[in-house]
Amino acid sequence: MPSSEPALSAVVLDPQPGQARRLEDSVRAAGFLARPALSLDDFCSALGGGGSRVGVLAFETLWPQPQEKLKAVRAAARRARLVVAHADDSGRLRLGKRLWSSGAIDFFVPRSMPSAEFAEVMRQADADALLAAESPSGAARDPAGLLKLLRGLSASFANQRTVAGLLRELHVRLTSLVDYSLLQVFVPSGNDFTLFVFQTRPLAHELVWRLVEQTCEVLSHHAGRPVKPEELQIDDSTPVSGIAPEGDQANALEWRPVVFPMLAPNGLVGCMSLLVPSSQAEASRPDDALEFVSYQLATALGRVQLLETAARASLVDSLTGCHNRRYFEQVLSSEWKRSTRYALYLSVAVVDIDAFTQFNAIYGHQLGDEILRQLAGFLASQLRETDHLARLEGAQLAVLLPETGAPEASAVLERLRILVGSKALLVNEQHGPLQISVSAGVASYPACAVDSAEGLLERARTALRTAKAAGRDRVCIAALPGSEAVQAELVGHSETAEMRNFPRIPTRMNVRYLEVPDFEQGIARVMTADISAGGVALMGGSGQFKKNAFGLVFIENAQKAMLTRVVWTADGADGSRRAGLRFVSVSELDQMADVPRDRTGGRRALVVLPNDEIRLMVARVLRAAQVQATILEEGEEWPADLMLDQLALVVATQGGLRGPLASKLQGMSEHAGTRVVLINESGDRRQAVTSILSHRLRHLVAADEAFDEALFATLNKLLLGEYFGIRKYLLWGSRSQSWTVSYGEDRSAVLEGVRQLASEVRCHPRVTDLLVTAVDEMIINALYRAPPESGAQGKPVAVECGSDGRLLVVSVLDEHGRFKPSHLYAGLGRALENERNTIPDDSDSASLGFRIMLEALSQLAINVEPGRATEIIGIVDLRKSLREYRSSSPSVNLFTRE
Amino acid sequence: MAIEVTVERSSEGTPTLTLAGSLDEHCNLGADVAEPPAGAVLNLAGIRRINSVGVLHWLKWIKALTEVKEIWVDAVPYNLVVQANHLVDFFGKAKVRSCLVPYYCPRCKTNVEREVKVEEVGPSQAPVKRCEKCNTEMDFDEVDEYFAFLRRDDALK
Repeated sequence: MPSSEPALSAVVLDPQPGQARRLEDSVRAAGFLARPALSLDDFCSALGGGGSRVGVLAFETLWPQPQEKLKAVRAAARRARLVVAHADDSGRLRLGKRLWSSGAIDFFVPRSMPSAEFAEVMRQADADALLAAESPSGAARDPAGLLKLLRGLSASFANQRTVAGLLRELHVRLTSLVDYSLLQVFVPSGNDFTLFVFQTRPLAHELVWRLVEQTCEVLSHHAGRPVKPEELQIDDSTPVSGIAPEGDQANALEWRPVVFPMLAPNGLVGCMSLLVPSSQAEASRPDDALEFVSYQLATALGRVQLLETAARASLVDSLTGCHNRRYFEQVLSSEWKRSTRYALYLSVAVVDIDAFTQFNAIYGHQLGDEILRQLAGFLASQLRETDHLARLEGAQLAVLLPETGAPEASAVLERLRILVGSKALLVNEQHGPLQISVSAGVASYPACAVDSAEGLLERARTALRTAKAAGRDRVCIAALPGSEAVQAELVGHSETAEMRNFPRIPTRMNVRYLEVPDFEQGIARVMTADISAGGVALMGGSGQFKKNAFGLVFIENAQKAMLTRVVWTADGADGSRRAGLRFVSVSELDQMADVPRDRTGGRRALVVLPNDEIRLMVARVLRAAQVQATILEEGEEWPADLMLDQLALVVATQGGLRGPLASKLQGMSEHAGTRVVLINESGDRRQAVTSILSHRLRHLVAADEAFDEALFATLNKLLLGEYFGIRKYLLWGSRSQSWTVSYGEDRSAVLEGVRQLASEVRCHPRVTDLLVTAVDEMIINALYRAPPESGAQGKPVAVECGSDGRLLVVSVLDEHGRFKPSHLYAGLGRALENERNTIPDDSDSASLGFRIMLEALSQLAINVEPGRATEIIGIVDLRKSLREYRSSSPSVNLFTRE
Repeated sequence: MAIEVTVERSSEGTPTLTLAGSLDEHCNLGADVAEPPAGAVLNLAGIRRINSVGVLHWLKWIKALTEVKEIWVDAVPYNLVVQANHLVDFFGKAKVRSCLVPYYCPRCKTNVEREVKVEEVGPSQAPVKRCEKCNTEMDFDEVDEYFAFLRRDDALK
């Protein structure tokens, strides 16, 4: 704190002199002058006298009858703020929290709170008290809520631990304080700024960008260097309300920008800017309140950034750069919970450098450290993104392999052991290439029959000891309690051995197999031996299955083909050939030769995407679908001979739809055969739905982990022209059920049936609740389209529900043929408008219904054949956790046959 | 009738109306539920389903009711919390006192709902609850934003 500023002071209750010495020290460390009060009466008079705005006391000093004492303090010093410190393990904590919730205590903090955080609490308490002291002018402006809200800010900010959480809290609180359409917060990260954007309603893109530019000008001024809009990192974790249709410039006049640079004694900590209504009366302008908020935010931002940095640093091992033991214990605990809850495999391995003490003795500790660093880097490069590597202690590293059983985990570790032993991890000028060997112990759930994460880790350590005792340079697998760990062996092809497990379901289905892209072998008719979410085992063929070959498996009762790759083959006792086929991602098709042009059927597509990875992925999907693609980067010159109307497909992101493509799309006939698929990179469903409405798009695919599958299904439907039915989404019809419902009938049995199927396929109970609500909505949507002239009964609607263990798909089909595409767009549009959290009017149950569906589903597909039938398909991705499910955006596809 | 109502009185004479059933196109709250007196408590634990038509019925009814009377709301179930997080003033001017919160016991591997009083809820944090069977600390089984409606609506009143 600069010495020129007057010292802040706080009164500290110390009924027995010396008892509150630590508290007084903390207050001083926070930059406040500590004024001890020897009794509660003194404490009240000191605070009431106005010399200090903040009172600090230990919770224990209020006993007995803490409520009465707090009342007395409040009566004497109405505008002071109370910071109450509590012992972490106090049995009185619950009452304290209740008093804090009720407002009797302003800040309830643990005694063990780090001094930097305590300093922030003290500063916020003082600022809060200052505001209360100046309340007459503020209260006159908005006596009902403004002051209460502003006071609540300090407390709510003080409880946030991350920048994203803090800014979400700011957005939630601020919407109640002022009306604004856009909130942007610029937070320094390294030499750049990260931009967090919160919108309350759709805005023209130019308006959003103009505020960014204005704020960058202010930032440049305060930062003393140019801050360019194009160099900002955009945080995409927060959904925004959408971009208004292009050309809609009317709202530009409705909003005015306000920009608040956030300054701290040590420099610029960020900037907050908003668009607030231009029409707001001068007297009710919220600028003063917002300035206060920006001050509060600045102090809170500094605190959480410090916390985030410390949290990150506390999880990294300083020697190797990989994660440390603390991180490993956290992730092991959460993966253990997930595995035991959802009956998933989980493996832990402990890897140790053999004879590391001797290595250090011979080559010195510096090289010992270096070889350990190299080993950690090498192991990290060999593991999957979903695996976790951490240094436990000394030369011991731990590997966590989620959803991996014992045979697969031991195969992974055995491969790593062989690789480590076969190469020099380090080449030293003096000693030349240095080689090491490692031993590893592997323990797996549920094979080890342990009842805790710690137990699993301990079993891996025991297996490591067995490996060491057996002569080192080997991998041992922990066995059941009471039996000895056994040595792992790498059997067969490493890819096969390492393939992680999916539950396999023995099943006999007729399938056809066709190798691609060379069709010379013809179609083989074979049977399935078993099937899983990861692949299928076939039996009965003769010479059709070639190792590593790509092929299409047509599962007859599923009406669809799956792209596969042969991973193993074997001859059965009866002389028939058996083969294991893995369902492959289209990304693996890079290894397949290009599809010749004459097989594309003359279909052409245009792909305009900004991101190399997504562009490559889409190109692969199109190649698999045998469509010839012209691929452009965003902003790339439009080929002169490319006629939009002659294309079967256009695939683009939001960015790709700006510029020349946007104007060509606007000019395209509504009845043109070209289908436009929007890849929703931003993850914001509202923004995407707005684009659908403004650009006449009907297909939105969320760019999430299941992106390639969803895009493949969408393109297949579009290119084949077969829209209706749920089986296109399922690998196989493992479980399905159907019902019919008529107008006026009780549909509880149908909803209960959907709930039961969801439970059977282990859908999370909360997701099931949301799905059942969405299905109810889909059914009433269909029932209310029954033609009135056909009587109250109308035609019944058909409900079908099926799952393959990956997806749960529900379809509601009506044959009333009264659903017009224009109604659909209007309903979705209103659903979008209602994202403002406003109460819909009486006529708006349809848009509310769409919103309920969008909130509940991973994918929403609506198939409309005007005059004939309408089908709404809702899909839940069962592979997502509840948190992923609730925070992700759905794919939306509107298939209309004109 | 889609909604069933039972009425109990506390020792102080405060009536508690317990609503059960589905809030959908078949319910007519104005007709199904006798108008509660000022100070009454609505217990919503029994509302197991709500759809868009039911949402509109509910909004109209609760807004009109709480415009003139002080009403308390207890035990808001999961499906209504989801709606309340999407719609401002979902409870009109009624004061929510508690809601049902999903928890998961990692030891018993069971999902349970517990009624949580508003004052127990910290900022974005569910209170700690223990399993009744094994006394293990249970996991809060929802996203942090589950309680957003309490903070937002409370701030408006």
